[in-house]
Amino acid sequence: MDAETVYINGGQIYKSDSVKSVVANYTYNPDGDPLFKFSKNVSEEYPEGKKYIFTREFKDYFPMDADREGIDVSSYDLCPDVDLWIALGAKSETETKDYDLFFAVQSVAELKAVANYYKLPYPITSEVENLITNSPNTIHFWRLENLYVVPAGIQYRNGVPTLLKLYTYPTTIPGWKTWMLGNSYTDGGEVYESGGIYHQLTGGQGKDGYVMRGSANYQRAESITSKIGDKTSVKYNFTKTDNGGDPVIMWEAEETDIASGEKRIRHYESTKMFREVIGKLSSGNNLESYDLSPDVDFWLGRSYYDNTDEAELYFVATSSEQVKKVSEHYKLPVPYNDNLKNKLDNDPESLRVRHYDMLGLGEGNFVPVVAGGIVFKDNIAVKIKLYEFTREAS
Amino acid sequence: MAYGFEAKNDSGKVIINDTIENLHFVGKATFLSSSSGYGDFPGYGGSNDTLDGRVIHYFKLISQGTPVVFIKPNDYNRWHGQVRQYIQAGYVPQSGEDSNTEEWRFDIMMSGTSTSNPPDIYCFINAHHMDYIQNTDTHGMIVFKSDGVTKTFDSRRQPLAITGGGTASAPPSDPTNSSGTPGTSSGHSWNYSSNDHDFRSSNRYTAHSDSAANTSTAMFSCPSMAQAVYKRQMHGYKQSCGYGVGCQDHHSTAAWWVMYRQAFRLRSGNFDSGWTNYAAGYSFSSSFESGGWFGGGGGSYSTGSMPYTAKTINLQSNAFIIADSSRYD
Repeated sequence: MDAETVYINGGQIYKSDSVKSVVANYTYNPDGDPLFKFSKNVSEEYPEGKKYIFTREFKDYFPMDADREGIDVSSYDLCPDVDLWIALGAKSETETKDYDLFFAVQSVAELKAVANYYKLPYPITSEVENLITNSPNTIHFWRLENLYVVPAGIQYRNGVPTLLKLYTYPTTIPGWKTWMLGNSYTDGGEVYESGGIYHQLTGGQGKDGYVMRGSANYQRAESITSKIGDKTSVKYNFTKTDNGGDPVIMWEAEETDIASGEKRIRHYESTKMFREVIGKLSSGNNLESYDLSPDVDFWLGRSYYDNTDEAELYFVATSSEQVKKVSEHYKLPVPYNDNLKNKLDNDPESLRVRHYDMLGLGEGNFVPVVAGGIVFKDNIAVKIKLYEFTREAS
Repeated sequence: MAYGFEAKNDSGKVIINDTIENLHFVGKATFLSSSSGYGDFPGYGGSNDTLDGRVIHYFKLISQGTPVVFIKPNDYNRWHGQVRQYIQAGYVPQSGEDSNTEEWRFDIMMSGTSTSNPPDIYCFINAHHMDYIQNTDTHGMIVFKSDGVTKTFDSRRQPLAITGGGTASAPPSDPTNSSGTPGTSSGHSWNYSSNDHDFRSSNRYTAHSDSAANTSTAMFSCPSMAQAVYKRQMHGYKQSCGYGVGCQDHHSTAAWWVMYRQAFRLRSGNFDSGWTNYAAGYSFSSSFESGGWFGGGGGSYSTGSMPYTAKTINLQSNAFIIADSSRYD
């Protein structure tokens, strides 16, 4: 799915970028406004880069920010039909020639009024109009209380308005931003489980039934869900050590049979070697009770259910050759196809669970850890898996 | 002293008269059991994991009065200290015992983790509390208080003979071998959890020259007053950002803490006042603002919690007494 699609001139696509290409155009600015900690990179179009300087009225929606100053944009030619101006996009806040003025589109009528006021082509089709009117939560960028902010921008060049752009950010689940997507593959690359981690800004409020992340204005509810085929839905829940949760893998999976509604819990347990890497913890075991492939150097952990012999052992997948040997050990087909094989061998970052300091060399030397899985039933290996996690960030 | 008997030592100090309560040997405490631990940080397996360790030996004594305890090490290389003395509730005096008889309990700490070679505990009480124990000796000398009834000295009851002692200076305020007390530092990489502080106490003591100190029969009495708790804490951090969804902060905290009690060691010609670790713990937490199938959200782990914030308390000089245990065997 595209991370950003920008429309101009009656539905013409101005740009439509994947996450990676969007990220490539921006640089993270740790000192930037927490509303958007990125600056547009220097390019032919933006020879001095572009910063995003937010307005006072927009920042008023984020009352817990330490820096709430914002700028006054009243000196610019502002369309009176706009209810909420968001930001100035320019090399500096004193720029008067080449800049963008961003505002929140709250209705189709408002967007049309802006086009008329600046005498610019109306940017969207009726299809996108429908989204603005009926489901802005599927294309929004920020969420303010009950307002899903769909931004639009008036581009100025040499002090003249030249373009009206509508920015959309398609979501997989309405109202939720995708942080991370996850798949597991088996039997030559067949998708076994597919899901994602989704966030929703809550404006500093808690949200019942969800784990909260972040703080203050940027507190987000988190939802981790997946499906195993079309028969099982999975919800991943946070567990606490105090309640018997694992010290490193603090999750359990609530698996629901979609047809019957029956639920069962999959518990997770990290290995001793993984705990040592993560926190120099000395507890745990290294799955010695299982038939362990000699081609695995590092076991991450296992998952299991209560009252069954079904379990899955997780290991660090280091190459397609290693996974092949593991598969041969258990006399099972490899879990990858050519595409996954290529990623595993040449771009393991694109599959990684996370970067970890596996070698104990400290910051800057973390390595991407790719996970494989071996499913056991009645102590017999029945399936080999390879996991893929993709992120909004690169 | 208006009248009666008075004995002075070579320095002219009174050691026996009708007002000074002399101590008399009531017996050796009975060894009950031992527990050991903290030879390393519980739950931790990285660098600087080793601690001195400690054994707690548990003893009891049936006695009247309030016993004064002398520790006679059976391994003079190890540090010893009395960390607890209390009356065990519910003791019912046996036939022939006075109703004031109590069951006293003593917890004696010893450095190391091996429970072998527990010390012998010699106990002394005032002379007038000794009467509940029958004595048929018909010769000797008893000194009474002016009331003519209460004994201050009874030569038949193995009075304590002090062979050495003085004032034991407090041990060094910092009980840890590493230079300086440990503290908190930030800026480490996420999940960094390698302890860089040597929490052992083997070279943290104050020596006192005393000719009565030996490693064969000498025993000592000195209260273990000083305590300390110190902690090393490391904060790790990493941030990753995603366009449109903000940034993920990754935080980690690793902390090692040790509680110490004052302990003592007899060497030939020296009485040392130092430290032994009494308890210890390790805690680790790792979190990030989103989850995943592995390590999602982060976890935490801890073994125990610090009894109080990092500091040294009760650091003061104490009187110590050395005696020869062989007199009472």
